Amino acid sequence: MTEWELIQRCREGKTSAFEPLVRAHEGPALGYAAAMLGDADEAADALQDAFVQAYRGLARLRPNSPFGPWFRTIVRNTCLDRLRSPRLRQRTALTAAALDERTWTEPTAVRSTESMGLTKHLAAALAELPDEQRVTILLREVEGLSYAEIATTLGVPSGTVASRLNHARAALRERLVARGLGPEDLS
Amino acid sequence: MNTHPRDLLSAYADGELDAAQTAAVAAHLTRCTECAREVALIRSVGGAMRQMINDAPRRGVWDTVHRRITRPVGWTLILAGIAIWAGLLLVEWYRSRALSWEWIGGTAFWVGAVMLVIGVAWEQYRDWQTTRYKDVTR
Repeated sequence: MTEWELIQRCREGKTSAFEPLVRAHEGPALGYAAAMLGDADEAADALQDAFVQAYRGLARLRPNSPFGPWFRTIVRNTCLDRLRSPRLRQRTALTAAALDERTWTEPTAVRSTESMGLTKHLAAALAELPDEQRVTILLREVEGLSYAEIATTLGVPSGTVASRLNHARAALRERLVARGLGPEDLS
Repeated sequence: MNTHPRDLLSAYADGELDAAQTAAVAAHLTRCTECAREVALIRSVGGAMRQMINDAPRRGVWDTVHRRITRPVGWTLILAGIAIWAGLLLVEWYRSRALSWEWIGGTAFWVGAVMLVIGVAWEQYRDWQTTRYKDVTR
């Protein structure tokens, strides 16, 4: 059954047709949410909210549109809403210590030890960035948004986006070097 | 461009510079291994970030999501039961102009019992519909 056929069945009220969509997209979406929020439990909650919102909003999805990019937008907005909420800001001073490593350290069959180590260090380095830098670099690198699109999403000028990306990349490089990773580890 | 254009490298790697700036930075990169390495590093970190996201393990959120998207029938059945019970009381009142406590209590009991059976049957049906082993035969 194609993705669109599953979506149509969901629209007809067959909730079980949503399961393959959830299973296909939950891994990357959880990774994205955890990177955005810097907290695995908060990310899991955000992911559930995003899936529920997506299910209820399937009627808005244009015929034959792919589910993935549309769902990623929902995940992004859910995470941004959570980051704006005072509750999360009070709870998590986003530091390496605050990062719940469970998100990144559960083994999968295909991942090598080295890539798991890099992933862990990168996740920790990302979590140490200020919220606005972390979100900006994720919107650019993971979603591939242009500076203008990021500026619209975050409600800041394009120049601010460029400046945040500059700072975020410099800070990431410093933190990765501090963890003993050099350019050769990343290439 | 003789000095290192460090402030432009990030935007260059993202393809966000205008044509003149892009050409100037590109020309500089052919001469400067330090800046070329910096651009390569920016791209590598971006790639590693995407891989990190795509390789993130699943946590199995389907059960929770499923519970949340499936409307619970409990309240619907309770409201339906009360409506049916009130309807029966009205009909009986219209018919006989008298209602005994025994009749009121008995009707409430039987309407409640029927709603309970419907609720349990519905939950069983829903569980059966969503179990991933229903098509497995011995």
